[in-house]
Amino acid sequence: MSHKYDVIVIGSGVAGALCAWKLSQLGNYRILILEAGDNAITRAQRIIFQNNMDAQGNRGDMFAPYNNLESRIFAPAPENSQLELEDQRGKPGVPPKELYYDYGNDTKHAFKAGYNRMVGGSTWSWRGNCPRFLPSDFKLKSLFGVGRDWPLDYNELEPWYCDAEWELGVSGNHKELDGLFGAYRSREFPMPGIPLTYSDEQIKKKIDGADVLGTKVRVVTTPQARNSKFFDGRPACEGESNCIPLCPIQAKYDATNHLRRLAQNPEIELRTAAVVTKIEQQAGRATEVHYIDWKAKPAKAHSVRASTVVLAAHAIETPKILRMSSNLANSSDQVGRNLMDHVQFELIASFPEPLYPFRGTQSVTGLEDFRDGDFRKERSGFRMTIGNDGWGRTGAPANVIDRLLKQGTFGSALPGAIQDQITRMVRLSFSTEMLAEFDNRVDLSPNKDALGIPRPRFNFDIGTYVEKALRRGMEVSTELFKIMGAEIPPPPLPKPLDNAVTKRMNWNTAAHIMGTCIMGDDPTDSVVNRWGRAHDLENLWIVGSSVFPTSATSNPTVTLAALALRSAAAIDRKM
Amino acid sequence: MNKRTVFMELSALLTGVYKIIDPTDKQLNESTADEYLRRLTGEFPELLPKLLDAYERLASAVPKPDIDDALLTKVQAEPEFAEPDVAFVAKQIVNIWYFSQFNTTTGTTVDGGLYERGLVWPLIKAHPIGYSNQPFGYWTKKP
Repeated sequence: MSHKYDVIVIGSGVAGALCAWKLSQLGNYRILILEAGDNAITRAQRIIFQNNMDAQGNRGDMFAPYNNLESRIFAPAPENSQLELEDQRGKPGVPPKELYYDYGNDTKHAFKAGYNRMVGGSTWSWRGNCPRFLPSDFKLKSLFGVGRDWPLDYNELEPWYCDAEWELGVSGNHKELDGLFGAYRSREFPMPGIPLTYSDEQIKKKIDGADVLGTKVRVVTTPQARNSKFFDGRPACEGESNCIPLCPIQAKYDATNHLRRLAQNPEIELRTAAVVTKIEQQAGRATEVHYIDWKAKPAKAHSVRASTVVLAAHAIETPKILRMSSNLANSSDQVGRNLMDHVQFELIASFPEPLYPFRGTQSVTGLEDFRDGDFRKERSGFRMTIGNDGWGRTGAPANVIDRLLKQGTFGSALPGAIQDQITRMVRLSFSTEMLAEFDNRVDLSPNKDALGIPRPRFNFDIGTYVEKALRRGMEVSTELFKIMGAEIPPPPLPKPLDNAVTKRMNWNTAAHIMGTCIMGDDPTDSVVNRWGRAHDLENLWIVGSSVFPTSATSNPTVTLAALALRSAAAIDRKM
Repeated sequence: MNKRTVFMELSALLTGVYKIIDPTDKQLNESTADEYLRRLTGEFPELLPKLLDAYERLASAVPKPDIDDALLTKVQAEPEFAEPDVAFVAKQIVNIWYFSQFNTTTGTTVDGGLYERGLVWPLIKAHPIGYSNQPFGYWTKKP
């Protein structure tokens, strides 16, 4: 059957944009990208976002620049997902705050991770960190007896990692990372690593090479999709210290980069304000995609057809769309399950001398040493980040003044106290690896959004595998601060790991949503095959971190980018 | 004393940043002061004038007292300052000058409108977050 389009890509974030772009390079395909958001991808739009952010106060909030978008009404984003479960659900007599997420009765934790439903997706507000998975991350079950294995290994993905690093424009120091826990690198990064900040250098002097509870640590420059020179038409980083929620100059990669390239191609159409509601299937093929155009007043339903459909709506909306499509591609009962995040926490301290944070990117360096080891049979590994953003999420600089004022400090004592406290701020954060669990899931809530579409409903438990790692992360961070001679402030700062009120652990989300449509060789136990094609439908493909069977400790973007490029090549071969 | 001068003097007194009213800088700071005064008055229409009146009573003495911690102590000893709501507004004057934002009594953070002019940035030797205007790699050096 002949259609107007060869491929429909649902979602214009990094996975969808890269997949569409790669396809456009491999063949003269007519591609339609459907996107729920409706923002522009121009420089002018970036300036509007920046102005909006200035008026928000909380610059650490990933949603701050974007919450005036009209799309937020019709394609809501989980703007309050970081609240504790009780605050999201509402307390007796107190209605919940305006929320997108909903929860099942037996959930243990809130699902705190958020994402942007925008043209360009969540890359508008990511930090740009691009560490690769380790070889062992693909074989968690066989090596440690926990979680799952991937159907592919590091060797198979390695060339695609190289391509992804060039597409995203990753700066990094090849020699520092080549061979990390066996993760060889066959190509150099396209750019050298971001130079260390003054703060990093002072910390490195104190801890590099130190023995930390039996592990020798090495301060390493984190590979980042951030220009360390003019690259791909974008400028070198100017150190705005604003990577999340918005790089004002696009020195940091975001998916609008590839969307602008696609816009040059007359065969490719980006249709915005299009919220997909259903994919129809017939005889094992996806045949028609239904969506609502919310910009039409009143909103209007449409449908389009193509010979291939690619779902790239991130790990919450993708399974939602499948569930709304009469449980499409779900003969395994794995759609929406195995939901994962990088559960994260941070410890703060005051360094003995001024570090002058907030100059340069929000983080340049990290410690990779705790990511792998035999301990993964019992608990997860973690990646550590050395912050350059003061006390990070624990407290904005404005809180320093609040505290001083509460202590009654006014007048001439104030400037010196502010200077002393803020310039010595440092944080260490650690991101742990969640296991894919059948019962950690997102499904459809009976409650609906503004378009009458079911909101996502979660059952979520971070699990003891992660909880043990969070405790270890605290011990390691405490030891590192001891070696630095940094002083951990007294309670209530920093936030304790154990919450006496909720009886749960305090933790933060890294907003790295993974799982929900995992890949595998066994159609009875996974949603897509090793190429990203749904087991149940020969022309439905899923790209993005939803296909990850393990979460590892790496920020997911470079891995999902590598997989999206690889899936595009597979789609091209099929077509 | 006009309202703007009263506000600027009280701001210098509370923040400890006396250059707000330094003769060489005062004129440059007037537009900022006007905007902050407007925004704070909008949020605290009764409490802010109360605080300003208390300050003006002391500052109008002849000879005019120096703007320093001794005068601050006197202001803090005024009965208005003992009122928690008024003391709260005094804190918001400090907040708005340092970070161009302030809190309402309900806990909402309100924009002061002049983010880049926050006094905190030169103090901590950083640029306003999101406004580097410096070349690649500037961060490697001690400021």
